[in-house]
Amino acid sequence: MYVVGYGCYTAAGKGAHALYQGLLAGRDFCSPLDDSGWPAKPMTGARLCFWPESPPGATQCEVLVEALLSCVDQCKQQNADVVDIFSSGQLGVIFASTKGCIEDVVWQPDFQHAECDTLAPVLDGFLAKSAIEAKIKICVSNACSSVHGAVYLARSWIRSKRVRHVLIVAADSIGPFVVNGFSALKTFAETRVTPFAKERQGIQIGDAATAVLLSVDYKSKTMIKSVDIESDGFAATKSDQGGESLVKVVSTALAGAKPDLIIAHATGTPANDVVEDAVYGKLFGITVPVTATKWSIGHGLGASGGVDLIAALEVLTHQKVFAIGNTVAADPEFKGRYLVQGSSQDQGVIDRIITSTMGFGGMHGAMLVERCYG
Amino acid sequence: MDRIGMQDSMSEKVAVQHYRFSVATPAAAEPEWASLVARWHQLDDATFALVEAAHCFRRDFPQEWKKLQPQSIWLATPGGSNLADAEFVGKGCRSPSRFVGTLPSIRSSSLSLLMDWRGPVLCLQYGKTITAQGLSEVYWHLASSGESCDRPVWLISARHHERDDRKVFDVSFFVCGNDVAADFYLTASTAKIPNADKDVLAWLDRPSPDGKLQKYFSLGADVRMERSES
Repeated sequence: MYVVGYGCYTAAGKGAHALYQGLLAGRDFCSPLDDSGWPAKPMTGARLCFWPESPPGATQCEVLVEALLSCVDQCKQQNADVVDIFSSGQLGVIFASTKGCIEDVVWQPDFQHAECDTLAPVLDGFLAKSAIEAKIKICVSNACSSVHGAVYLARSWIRSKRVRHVLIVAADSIGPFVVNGFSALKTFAETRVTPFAKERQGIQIGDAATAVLLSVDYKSKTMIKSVDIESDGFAATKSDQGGESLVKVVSTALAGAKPDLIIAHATGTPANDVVEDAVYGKLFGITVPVTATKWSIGHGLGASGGVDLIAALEVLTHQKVFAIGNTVAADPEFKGRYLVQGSSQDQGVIDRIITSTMGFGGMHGAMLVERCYG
Repeated sequence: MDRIGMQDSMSEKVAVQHYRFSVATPAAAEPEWASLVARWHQLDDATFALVEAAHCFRRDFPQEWKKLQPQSIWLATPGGSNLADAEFVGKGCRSPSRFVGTLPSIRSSSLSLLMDWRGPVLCLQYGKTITAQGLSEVYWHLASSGESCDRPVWLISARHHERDDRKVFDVSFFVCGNDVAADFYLTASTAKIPNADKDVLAWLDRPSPDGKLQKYFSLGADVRMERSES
């Protein structure tokens, strides 16, 4: 599936350029928590990366819709040739998210009796305001692997010729519900997020919205070559230490090819990083460099797969590789080759990138993104 | 991307077997599958119901269970994780186990443990028509899979209601495949608008007011259900 347009909105700002330049510059966009007025306050400190702008007084649904509209506008500006796709009658739309507009409803006293969906209103609100004609539409909520799940479904749609193009939009914004949740899990880093470092402490989370337009009719210089997802059922919040499931999805996505770069899930938690190193060390040793994005703009939850995909597309286009800017040195016991602070942005020709993800519930995903020649 | 393109021979009918189980929560006793799912007592109600229903499927239909192991599982989740979300907030936003239950994907984790299975899982949402939509999605997924699809796809859906201060979950397993003995079929049609999930189950359970079983039921997305002749 050719990637014919993409856009994003993260703590780095609006646009893939802002994301990419922030990563290259080694910037950490974490900002202090202001929980004044929150219905519940987190037990611990929290490292959070907010969007620079949010309309004041807006509901979470409105905020997410506006973020998605911004991302799709970027798609249109990026490639004027594909504007017709949005009114072609051959477009499917998938919204990927973990909690959608949960903050708008969950604090209401009768919420548990409400038969409401917190994702569909965002998708429908976005479609209504964008005037996009969606032949088919649905929401996917595969935790951190939601975008990988959406790509898996998009592939199915295109294979069955239900549509010729698929727009995958993804968004999650952070608020009291998710911050309290991750605080209850005691997963936030105290000072910095340092994936693959010996002193790694935990995660930071961030607002994120992405849009990626896929097509089989329009050619472009980048494509999603393959995708695989798997639920391993090891435990609710961690994967088996050998990473068997992650090995499987990465290997399936590669189908014998060798990547030039890996954008890892890299949450910076003590447990997850061990699993990822076990996988990448086993599969590639030190032959393939590994980098990541969450140390900079936070874990975008359901949109994190979209952020990593867009970061990969930027690398394929500009051939400069960002490092894990907060990590001074990798854990000496790790076997992978990690691009830490100070690593060269020139990592040779980058034609193939694997983005991987590990979600709650043992939801693993891997996507192979390639540069197209000719 | 690998091999995009329509299979030359597309199946017109996808056979579906429907297994339905009713599970009341909270559990009155330790479940028979307790040793398979660690911390079963911390599962949210929806996840517990799903796992218990799968256990009943395996126990009551052992041959079918063994023969019909899925290539992938699609969870059609009306209302997402609303119950678990409400529980987390209701208990003061302090319980890590309750927060973990607030993602639909968590259900697949416990289900995989019970089944000793791993594979692709998709958690689909779109309000009160998601079961109908989910069946349509599985139809199109299978209809174009051709020879690559040698095992069925499971669509699992659950709705709950309150009874005597307990929650009762009606869990449906729709086992869909080309090599499955059919309770009904999924076939292509011109229907565009999906029906609500409760109407899907009503069609499966009850004849129409004139006493006759309706042969067809529209799912939208150009798919309908067709009752098996047998």
